[in-house]
Amino acid sequence: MQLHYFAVLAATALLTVDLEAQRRGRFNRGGQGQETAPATAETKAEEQPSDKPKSHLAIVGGDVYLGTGQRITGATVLVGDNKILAVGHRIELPEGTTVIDAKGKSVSPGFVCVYGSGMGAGRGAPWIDSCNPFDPEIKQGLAAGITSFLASAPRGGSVPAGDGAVVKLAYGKVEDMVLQEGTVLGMSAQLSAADREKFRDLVKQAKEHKSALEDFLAKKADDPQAKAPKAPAGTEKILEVLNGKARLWLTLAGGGFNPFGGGRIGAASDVDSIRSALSIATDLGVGCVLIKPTSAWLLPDEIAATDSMVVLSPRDRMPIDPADPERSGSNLASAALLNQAGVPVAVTCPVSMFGGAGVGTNGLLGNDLNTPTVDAAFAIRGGLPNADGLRTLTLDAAKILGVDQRVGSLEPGKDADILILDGDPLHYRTFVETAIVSGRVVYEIAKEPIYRRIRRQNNK
Amino acid sequence: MTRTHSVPSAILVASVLLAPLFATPLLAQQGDAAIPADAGHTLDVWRPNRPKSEKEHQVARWGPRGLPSPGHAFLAKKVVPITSAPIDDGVVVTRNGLIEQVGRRQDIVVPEGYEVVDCGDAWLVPGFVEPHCHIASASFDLNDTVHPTNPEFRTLDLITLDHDQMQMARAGGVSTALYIPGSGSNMGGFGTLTKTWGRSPEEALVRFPGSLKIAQAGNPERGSGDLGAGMMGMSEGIRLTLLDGKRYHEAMLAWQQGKSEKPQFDPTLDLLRGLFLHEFPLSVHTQIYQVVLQTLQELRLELGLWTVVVHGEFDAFRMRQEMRQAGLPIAAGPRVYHFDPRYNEISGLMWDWYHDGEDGWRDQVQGVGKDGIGVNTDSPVIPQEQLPLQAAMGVRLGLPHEIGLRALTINNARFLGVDHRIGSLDVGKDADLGIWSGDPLDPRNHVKLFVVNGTICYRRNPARPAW
Amino acid sequence: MHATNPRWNRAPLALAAAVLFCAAPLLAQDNRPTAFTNARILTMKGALIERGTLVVKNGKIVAVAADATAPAGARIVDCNGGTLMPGLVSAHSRAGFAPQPTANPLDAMMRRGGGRRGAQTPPPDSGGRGAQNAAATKAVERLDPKQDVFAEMLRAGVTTLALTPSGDGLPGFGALLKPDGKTLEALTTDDDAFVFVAMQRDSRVKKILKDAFDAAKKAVEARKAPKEAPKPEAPQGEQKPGEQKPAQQKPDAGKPPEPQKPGDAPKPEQPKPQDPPKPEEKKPEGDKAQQPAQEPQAQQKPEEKKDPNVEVLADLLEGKRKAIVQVGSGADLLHWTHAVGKELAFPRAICAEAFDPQAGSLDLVVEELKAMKSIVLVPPSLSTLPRSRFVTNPCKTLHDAGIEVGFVLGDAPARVRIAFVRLMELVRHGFPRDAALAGVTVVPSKALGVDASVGTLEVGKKANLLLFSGDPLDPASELRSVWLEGQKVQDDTAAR
Repeated sequence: MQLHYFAVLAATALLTVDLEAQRRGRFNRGGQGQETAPATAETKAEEQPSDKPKSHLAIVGGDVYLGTGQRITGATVLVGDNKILAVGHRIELPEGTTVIDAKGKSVSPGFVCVYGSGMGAGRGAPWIDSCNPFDPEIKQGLAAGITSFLASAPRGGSVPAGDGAVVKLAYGKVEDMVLQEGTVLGMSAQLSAADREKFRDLVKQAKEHKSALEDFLAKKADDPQAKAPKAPAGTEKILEVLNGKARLWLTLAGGGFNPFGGGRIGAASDVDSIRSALSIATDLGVGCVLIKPTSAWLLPDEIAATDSMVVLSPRDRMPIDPADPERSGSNLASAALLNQAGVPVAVTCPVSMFGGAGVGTNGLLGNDLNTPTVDAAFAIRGGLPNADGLRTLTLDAAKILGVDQRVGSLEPGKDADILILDGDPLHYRTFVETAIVSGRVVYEIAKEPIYRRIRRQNNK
Repeated sequence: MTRTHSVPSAILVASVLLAPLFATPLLAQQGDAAIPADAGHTLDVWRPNRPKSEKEHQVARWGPRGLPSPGHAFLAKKVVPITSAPIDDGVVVTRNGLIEQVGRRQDIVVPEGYEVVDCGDAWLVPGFVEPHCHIASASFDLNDTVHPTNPEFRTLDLITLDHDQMQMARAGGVSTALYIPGSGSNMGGFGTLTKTWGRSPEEALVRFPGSLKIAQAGNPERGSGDLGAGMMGMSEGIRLTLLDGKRYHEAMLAWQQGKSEKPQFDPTLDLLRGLFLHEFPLSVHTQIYQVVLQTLQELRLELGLWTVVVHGEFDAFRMRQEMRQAGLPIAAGPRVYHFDPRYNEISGLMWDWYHDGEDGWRDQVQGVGKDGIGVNTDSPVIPQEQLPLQAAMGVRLGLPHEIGLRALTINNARFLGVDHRIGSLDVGKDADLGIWSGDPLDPRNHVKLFVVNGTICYRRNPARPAW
Repeated sequence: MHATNPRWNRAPLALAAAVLFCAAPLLAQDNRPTAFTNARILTMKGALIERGTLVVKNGKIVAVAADATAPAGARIVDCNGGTLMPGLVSAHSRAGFAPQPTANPLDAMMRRGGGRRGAQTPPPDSGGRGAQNAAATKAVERLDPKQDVFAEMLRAGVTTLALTPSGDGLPGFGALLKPDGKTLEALTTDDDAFVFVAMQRDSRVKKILKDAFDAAKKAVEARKAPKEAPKPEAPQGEQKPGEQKPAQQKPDAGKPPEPQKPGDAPKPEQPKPQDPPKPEEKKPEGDKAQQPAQEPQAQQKPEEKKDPNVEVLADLLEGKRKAIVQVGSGADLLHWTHAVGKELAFPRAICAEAFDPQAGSLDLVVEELKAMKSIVLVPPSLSTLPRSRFVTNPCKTLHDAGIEVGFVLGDAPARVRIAFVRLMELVRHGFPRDAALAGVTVVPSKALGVDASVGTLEVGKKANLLLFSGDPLDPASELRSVWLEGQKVQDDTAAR
């Protein structure tokens, strides 16, 4: 019981908040207000894990962006094996802890990309069996700050389906490469009346089964003869959604990508199609994920009311209909308005025939996953507070993938997927210096060739 | 064919520098702005036949200047004139489409009746110049390919100022665009230099032709007639057409000198004539090393044309020293980095062009320097509002911030021969101003206010900053 | 000319020439001992003999020493200071398979583009789709013995040639060939020399491997159970007759001895699972003779049907057989462990036909390989870092980590002929000379479990010899002659 990591008083926390440091960084960046974490951000591990970690790693002295929208300056992140043990000030480091000095640097959760490709992902379920843990694209993804992403975008059918995986960039380790599989399901929100009725019926059956099962479990103690109910055919995936085991992603009308025009969507997702998607969420009683709802800015509260979430590419544009200019077209403020309404928003880069959701080497920096932060930056350009910008790539993105219990923020108990950066994570000149996935250092900028020339130019 | 200036260049430079002091708005309104010589830069654009003023242009037509606009005094935390040091707490005074004063707040007297627009913490920069785009095209509708080369086409008739890319341009701080045909054939047609806002296409016009669009290898292979599926054939197709233009030009010249009959008027050949008069450049869509070499050899050295390389990508930067020596400027994009498969390294294309470096098979060579590098989007490939992002990514990959801003403004303007009108915050230039919430290269920042020809044409609506 | 190009195989001219030629080498059987005098001898065991004599009798080495003398009446081969070394052992080769009608060179190109294996892998049943546990199948059954390739291999110096099955997962037994002859019988030394495992990062392949080895573990448990003692049953049933016999013939296959020693559960013999004498003693003809006697006996116990494919793996787990596990990359090796578990150990060598930087060349998994304590067979070549031209030397990295490195010589004789040039390149990049030579002789012989009879020049071993004009790793050296079990291989290429 020597590990008293977390005995930090609120007062100390307030004292140690380094207001000045908020403006520091290699290029004096970060002038945009960043909320300072309240003392409650000094998080505590629930309990000491029964298995003592074999090894410890501490990242000390950095400006720690928790990924929740909060930031603690000059703090320590302590990692035991593959999990985060503690984040805060005055953390006692166990003997033998490997210490990484992050003074003057930023520390952030690894970025979670809601859609990606390549980067070591396998060919399909079971994804772990065909992943390539030595894919050089993994290093490039890590250089971009990505530590996990959804491989294979959910498709739209008339019932929930899909076997995509959230892949981690665990270079060199097969076991860590897949975080979850088959937990992101896809379905079209634009159903024919018949399919819509059928789905409603399936949901009804699923709900009845669910309560029958609950009854059974309650009765079982008294009545050993009780028979477990059987799930009706076709409700299996719906039950996963109802039970919170899977996230349902809804594709909207015309939600396909226009191959030309940097992600312009054309006639995508008007208010009606968003409403029909929300009706599915309402039927289920579970929040769903809306994929690129271009008109979402027109009804943020309706979306919030269903607990639904949104994946956006802030640079996607839908032209305004001159007949109804106030209620048509896209809006750069979408992310901001949705965030204001409490809707989790994740950003992804625009996909066009010239680039898109991969790191690649075709040269379109700023329009591919080599700079996922640019999309967050455009959300901020549209009015999203700077402090909330990072969440679109961390905690909110993790929620949308249903993996927020594991990744997306620097909180005790979560996977140690951590970045050390040379400035404000969202600044366009910031580079990832070190990336840690599941507690292992898997990327160090000085050791990898990818940005060697840039570093040489900058005399680093 | 080349006519050399008898005036020593130093005097020219001096007259250019002094010109704003003597220029009156009246003169400007008449559209007879002097065309400065290009000297003293790290890369001087090769254009020896340049007309001395806008009025001397025989083929190219210049749009109007000095159109009525109310008097404004824009106050900003940081004013970046580009051609001089940034000014903290600066003021830019504009009226009738032109910049009247630029300076520190305490030094400027705002004339009576001018509206003072206090922009607070904003950065005030010149409107950006896009040297290679298809800004008002619906999609691939600019790739008409009737012949192997198609100089008979022009974008002049397609200017659509409320086009979505035009709106994006304004929201992204881009005030002038060279709107060119696509690269479906080796010679796509004549491009138009236009402002991204105006009360009419005619009012928005800066110059027609803005350039003749040429596409060397890398794109036009997809359909170029029987001649020219390979690099050499395509090159010959371009040569043949330009030689037609040259013959016509010489015939016109002979007629003008009273040596022969007037040749029969041919609208297409007549436009090509402007190339030989150095009234507008060839803008060459060219990507890889070999093709840039071809451009240099054929267009610049052999045919003696004012040539600008746009869309310069991949390993073309290995030509940087030759480009600098030959006065061939370069705009990089839409790709902004080069992946070197020999070393698994990424390098910034703008930096590669800009800076000295090794080229693999030879020793260190000179880059094009701070005055030789521009940047383009190729919109809508990269949407027009992302022109500053292109430069920002160049800066991310090593280009100095200051050069990134130069590339977006004065460099792009100089390459296209419109730096006497736009590209910097200098007295007498067009009042094209981007007022940004901060560093315009940081994609988190936005345009708060956008001014074209002295008129505020975009004001950010926080509820709907862009559609 | 023809002989140098495998594509001439079916040309009538070449065939005629080959018939003439194949008769040539061993016709003049000469029972006199042969003494190689004035030789610089690379024994590959102990010190180099700068000048000495090697005496061969009945195909075996009977003396090798600096002071050995030629017996009276011996045929004398004066080496004139040339270098003698053991014949090459190729532990991974697909030379000699019957041509595959579906083999499409484009497939190979596509596969190469995909960064997986090289073009050398025959494509028909790869990609995981055709993967299955066919561990008891024999590669030798798909051999086309009438090909020139064996003679060409021999002339290039390969005196021990493995035949590696193609396919994914558990495609069957690899065979051991003596590359001299035009019939299956003449060529085949051992038709179930090793179990071949073709690993890929593919869910189907991984599942098949996992299931197969799980089944094999159970089979081992079953064998250990005391009541099961007198169960000499043989793998039975619907197998092709050809497939089955060998499993029983195998002297150490685990089944035939059991009746004699009931209750004596076979234990894995760790260091040398295959007892040295085995490969020598096993004469194909002898085996054939035993067969009929055993088969009826086996059929008397039909009640417990055992899957021969599983039994083969059970033998493997008990250490009675050897395996070669082929991986495409470092990633595949990690997947191998992921599929079958770290604990699963059996006598095996790890083999990669090419370095694949896109999925990790084997030097990236050097720790894992060390822990496996396996011989590693790799191509004698340098590699690069991914997506670059930075040269790496995985062979040296592996060797420096204490791993025994053997070399995959390739399927084409032309490839074998430049093997020494490739070894020289490795040496120039820091790979030790001794290890380079061991990598084509003694190490692959260990991988195949035939190190007791070939791979070194020691008394008692087969007289498979290469005579070079100088040091084999000297670029000016010439391979003067090849000797297979004491008989000179006629090289008539010059005459043609």
